Amino acid sequence: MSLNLADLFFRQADEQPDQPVILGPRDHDRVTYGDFCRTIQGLAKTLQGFGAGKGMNIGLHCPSGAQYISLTYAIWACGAAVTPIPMELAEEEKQQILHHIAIDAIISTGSSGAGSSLFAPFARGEAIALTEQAWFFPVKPQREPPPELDKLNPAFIRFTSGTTGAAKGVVLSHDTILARIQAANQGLGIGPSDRIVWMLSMAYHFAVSIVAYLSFGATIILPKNAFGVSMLQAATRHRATMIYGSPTHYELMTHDQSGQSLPRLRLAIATTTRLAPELAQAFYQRFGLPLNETYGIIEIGLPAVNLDQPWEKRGSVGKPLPAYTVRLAGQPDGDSGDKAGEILIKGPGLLDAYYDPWQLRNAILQQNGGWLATGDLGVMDDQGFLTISGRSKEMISVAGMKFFPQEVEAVLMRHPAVLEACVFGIKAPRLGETPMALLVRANDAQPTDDIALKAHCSRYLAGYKVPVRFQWVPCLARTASGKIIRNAAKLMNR
Amino acid sequence: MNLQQTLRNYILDKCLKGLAPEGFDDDFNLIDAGFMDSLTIINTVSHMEKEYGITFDDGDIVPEHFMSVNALAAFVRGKRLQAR
Repeated sequence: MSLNLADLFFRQADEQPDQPVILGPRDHDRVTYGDFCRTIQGLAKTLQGFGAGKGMNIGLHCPSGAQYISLTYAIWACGAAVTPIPMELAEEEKQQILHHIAIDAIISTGSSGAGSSLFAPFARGEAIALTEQAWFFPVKPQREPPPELDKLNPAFIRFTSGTTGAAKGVVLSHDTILARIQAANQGLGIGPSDRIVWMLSMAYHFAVSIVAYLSFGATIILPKNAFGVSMLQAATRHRATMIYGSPTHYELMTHDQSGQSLPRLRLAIATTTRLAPELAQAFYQRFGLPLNETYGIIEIGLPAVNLDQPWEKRGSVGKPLPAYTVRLAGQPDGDSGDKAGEILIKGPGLLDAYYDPWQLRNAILQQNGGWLATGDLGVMDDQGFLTISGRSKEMISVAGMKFFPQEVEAVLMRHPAVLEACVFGIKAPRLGETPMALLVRANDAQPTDDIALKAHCSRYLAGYKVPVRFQWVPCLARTASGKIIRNAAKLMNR
Repeated sequence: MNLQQTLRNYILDKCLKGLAPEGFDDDFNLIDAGFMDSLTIINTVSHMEKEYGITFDDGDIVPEHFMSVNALAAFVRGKRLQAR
């Protein structure tokens, strides 16, 4: 019988039915493993009554919170896979997911019929009430799923845009996610005594975090909101042992003036994007605790966390966890030095396949002699501590929300005034980076202003992808081979 | 446009993505309704610093100041008074 992560949770719930699984967001909200197990099983039964089952893929359009977790697990309990449809995205981006990934039904939460107009073009029947807040929409798949997909026992089919702005998609099976959480827990050591403050978007972060907490019997703490004072109140009230957040969350906590401390905290995991040294310093000064920087990527999970020397080696994502081997391209195994190379990784929990174009794990690994080429650049010191020094891919990260510039350029070039566009990240206080665009005006185009360009982008893109600055230029800088140069420093100093 | 109106437009555009929820007015609680995630908070801070020439100090990024359009407007007025 194939592995199902929902069964793993049900077994954990049998062992510790009275242990809280979720605390918050309201002060007295407390859900136990036993209660949550019954909620999930009830939802799964209802979903099965609606026809959900093995071989299906269900889109989940729901804000982060207890309901997001219960719906994901209920879909898994039916034997179906989940494709997250992040709430943060613009309508067109959400609809694109349905064009690129074969989805049989959508669960959308909100007031009556929420999402009905958004998903109406794909409808295959009436929306059915799943709970008071969640609706089940059968939809017509817009494409055939890859023929080998079912054999993989998929849990997640995550939509990701590629460097060309086109869809890619990553398939993660139940077995792969289990392998990831077991590997990560060799370092993190999560168990029933852990209480973890959660602040990230569950549509982007779930497999190596939420699943690990539920599989290893820990408790998730949900703060009321994302203000520093509220996160700290939740951590104090519920005696948090871990925080899992982005540098933006730690920035908000660091500037809090309420005087609250974190006496029981053993790990403050900083993920999603590179941590600024000034923030690591400020957090340490405020709380007397170091931030544990991590290296997490969708294709492999969490291969490195700075657990050993988070303060002394701040800026490093630590040594690779025991299950993983990391090598820098162009350098022999185990060699170190200050020369940056592309980070190559071997270890458990590698993605099962890219969805489009379909490519199985072995084929992906064969391209690099059995290693996963991450596209990130790193250096490794003589003690084996890895530091991410750049991205060989041109991804932009706004407060940890990552995207490729090509996606934004494609939207800009749909505007009649724009002939060509070059988008890149520029440094921004608190956010890390914000996108900026250089534009070449189309021949005979009417002049247009930044407000109109922003409005155009907002129609097709999530807010964080909309450039904050536009600059008109006579032509774009290109390499000798004609490739657009997106090096922000070079472009800004032209 | 007065301060209230420009802030209302910003909130409508950026936090609510142009879709005003039922009962939206200048006292509408943006936090309880779940519209103030970390990215929205930081973006709002950056926007207000740039647009109104104010500075958020440590301790200023708290729910009371971001609760509603009226709360944001009161914060800007307070900051301007302090600066005089």
